[in-house]
Amino acid sequence: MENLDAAITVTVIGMGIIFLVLILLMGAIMVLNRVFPYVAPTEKATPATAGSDDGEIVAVIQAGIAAYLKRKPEDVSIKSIK
Amino acid sequence: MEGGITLSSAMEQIIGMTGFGALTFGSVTMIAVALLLLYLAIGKGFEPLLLVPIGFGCLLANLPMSYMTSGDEGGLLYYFYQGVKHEIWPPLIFLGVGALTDFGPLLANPSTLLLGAAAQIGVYVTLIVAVLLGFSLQQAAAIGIIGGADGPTAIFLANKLAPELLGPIAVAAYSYMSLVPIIQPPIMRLMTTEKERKIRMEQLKPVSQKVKIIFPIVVTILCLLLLPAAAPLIGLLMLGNLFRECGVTKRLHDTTETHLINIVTILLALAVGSSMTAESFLTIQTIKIIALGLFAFSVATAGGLLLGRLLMVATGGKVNPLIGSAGVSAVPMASRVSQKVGQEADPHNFLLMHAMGPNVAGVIGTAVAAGIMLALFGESALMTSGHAESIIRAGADFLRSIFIG
Repeated sequence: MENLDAAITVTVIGMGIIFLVLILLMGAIMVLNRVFPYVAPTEKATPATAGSDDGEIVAVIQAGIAAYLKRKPEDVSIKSIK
Repeated sequence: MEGGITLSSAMEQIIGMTGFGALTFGSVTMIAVALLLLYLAIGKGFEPLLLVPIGFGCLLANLPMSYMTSGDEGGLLYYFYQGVKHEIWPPLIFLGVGALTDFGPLLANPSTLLLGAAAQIGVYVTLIVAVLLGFSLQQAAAIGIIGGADGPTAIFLANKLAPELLGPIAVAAYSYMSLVPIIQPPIMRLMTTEKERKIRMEQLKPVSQKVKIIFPIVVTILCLLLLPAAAPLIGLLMLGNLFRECGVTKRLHDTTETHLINIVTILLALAVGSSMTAESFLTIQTIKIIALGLFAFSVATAGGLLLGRLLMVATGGKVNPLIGSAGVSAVPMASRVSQKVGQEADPHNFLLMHAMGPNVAGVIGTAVAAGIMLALFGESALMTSGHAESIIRAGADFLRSIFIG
């Protein structure tokens, strides 16, 4: 019975500490994300249109995506391939 | 004839020199256990990277006169076992796990850390049940950590608190980890509605590389200031992750995530297998531990799902509660289970990356839980007379003052 009391107390203390530690970490991550926000790399996107050399590939990808989404190919527009 | 050797005495002498003469019921049973583990690993694909060397270590240890048990001083596996005894192998495995783990999904959605915390309820509820079944507090703590679904942590803690139970605890932990895809789905279906399982979550935002580099350093400082006992596990986990993210230690990263973790896995698993002798394994306690392990996994899954549902309500339906079950460690299998059960309800729902957040949070949560157990029941705590008792008594008084007044 004494051990049971101790086990229940350890449970409450243990869960309390785990939540405390992980909540502190959560706060630290939020601060880090604010201080160091993600900046997208400034790469020059290569436009891929039907008129370019990759036109055929773009058309195939467009048709594939349209079939998957159950839409018409003209409803899907591919702006660039990176 | 010189020496007076007869055919029967010669045969007796030869049989006495072989292991056949030394076979006992216990060793034969343990050889059968070893063969069962090998069958489960090879034939059924249950955690083969661990159960093959554990099963083979068990086989070697139980072949009489081979002197391959963890206790046979001078034998090969005795030296391998020193790495477990002196807590070297489990932290080195954690170094490799850190090098393999991408904390990106957790950093993108830090609230999933709470799900990793909630799943640790399996550890503590099992501790209470184990005490009710007659285990000491130290043994109960070592058994409870099976619910964290983290093999190295279970071995680390069992060796510190209840080395006599190391074999059954390790086998239970790794067996149930491999059974996550069978244990979790029925609980997940039971505790969520189909509508909830269909919830689609917003795409995770990208995280800057600076945050990924600073995160392991912050975790190390924060966790170890709060819980120094967790230093071997959390310290090496985060060092491995720093190797991965810092971008200037490619060779160290490559080694830790491949060769080092593989070598240490062989040494650790063989050492654990070598501790599975008839005297330590063939007891009623083993059956209780195997049953408690399953209970621990189930409660941990339910705990994560409950908080998942709470987060779903709190966010107005933006969180799919299925990712809560990934709060048990078992990386990445628990995340895959969330993805699979989610796709049963909606084939176009992709929960995998969302579930990786609570999944890696579970690794940190389990290491913190182990640190708490060590702080309360570990060697350094026990060296200080009445240390655990005084903390527990103070905690009990505090709780009583809150609930009773």
